[in-house]
Amino acid sequence: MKDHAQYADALALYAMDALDDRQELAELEAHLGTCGECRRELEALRADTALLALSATGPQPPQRARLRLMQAVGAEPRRAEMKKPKLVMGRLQPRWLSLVPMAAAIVLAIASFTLLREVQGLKDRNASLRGRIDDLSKQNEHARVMLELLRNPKAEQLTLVSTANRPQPQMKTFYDREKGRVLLFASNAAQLPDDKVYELWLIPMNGAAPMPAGTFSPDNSGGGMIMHQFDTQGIQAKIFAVTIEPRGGSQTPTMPIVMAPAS
Amino acid sequence: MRVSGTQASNTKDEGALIARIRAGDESAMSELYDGYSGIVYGVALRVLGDTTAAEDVLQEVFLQLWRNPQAFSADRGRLAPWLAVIARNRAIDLLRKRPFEEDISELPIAAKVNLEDESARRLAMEKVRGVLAGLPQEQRKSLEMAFFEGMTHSEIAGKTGEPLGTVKTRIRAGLLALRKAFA
Repeated sequence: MKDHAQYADALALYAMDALDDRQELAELEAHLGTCGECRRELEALRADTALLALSATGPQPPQRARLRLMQAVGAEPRRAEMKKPKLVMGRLQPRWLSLVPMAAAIVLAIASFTLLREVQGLKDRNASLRGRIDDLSKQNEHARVMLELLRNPKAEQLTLVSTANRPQPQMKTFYDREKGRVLLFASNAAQLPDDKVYELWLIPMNGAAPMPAGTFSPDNSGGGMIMHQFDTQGIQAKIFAVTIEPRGGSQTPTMPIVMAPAS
Repeated sequence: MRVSGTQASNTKDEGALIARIRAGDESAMSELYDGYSGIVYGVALRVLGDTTAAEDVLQEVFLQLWRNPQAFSADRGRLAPWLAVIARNRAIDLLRKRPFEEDISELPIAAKVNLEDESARRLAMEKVRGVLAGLPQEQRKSLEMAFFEGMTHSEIAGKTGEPLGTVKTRIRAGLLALRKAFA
């Protein structure tokens, strides 16, 4: 059997996960399981590698990394440290001894009831947190897709303006042909009757029928947004255009086109 | 040059910071990040050579600690060396395209050097660089290939053409030279 000194060099490699001789590795791990001295030396060697890591310090992370971390921390489920119940020790007086079983049963019943309520409360909280995580995940995915589309240099952008002689209404589309996604932002859009919505259409380059690309109702300031995923990717768009349709949208556009590309 | 400090008071401060993180105090996480992000980012960047990937490691390491603050025990080591070693291991995992499997609570470190504040770390860094510069070139290279490039001793031997035993001995001697400089 080897002694500590014979493991010394292998231990230094092991501290850096650099020992790749399987037999040697197995022998060393078996030895570590029984040798406190070598385990302590391994911990000291890890500290030595940490000193080596210091030679790399200098560059500072960008500010956005801090923001990203703190946002991630904020989005994590809240937690509080588990509180340990206090253990109370006492001595029973002899005259109460006969009542002990009954008292214990009562205490047990109360404790069980309290525990059941706590368990139910925790279950409710768990379900609520799970729901919140799901909501946040959906929001996050939505935001990620939007951001990806906005940042994509290949996204085809068009600014749609009013075809009538009314100034101001403006709609901007971002189309990612490869992924079949389109995003529309509207501003100053005219208000519509309650039973009408604006509907976006992709007019394909190949002369195929216009494809519905989502609807929106403008808010009080005329703003609105659509993010639409087409079932088919790669469709080359001749233009995007907007019509007014019954609430719920249509499968074919109702003329006239109210918004179309500026050029 | 003195870089070591009062271990009791420092471990107490680190312990208090971790206790606040365990209680869910986000401001404590912010303080921890401000104090230690440089060392985590520095080592990740050195290993990966890519700022985006180094930021990912930075995020991963601190988020792990936020999720599992029990992993760090002030009794078993100091925060800065512990974070440095975890960051290096995470970065090597990424470099070698391995999933992050290591349990961060299984990394006890017997660190004696105080790296808690920025000035102490700067002094220590200069000292480490001085020791490394004084090592024979082959020894320094072997040490760096194992630690920063995640190469195994067989890979190092294959690359340098040195016998396996020589590589092993060099690496350990290099680490001991660092330890001696801080003794």
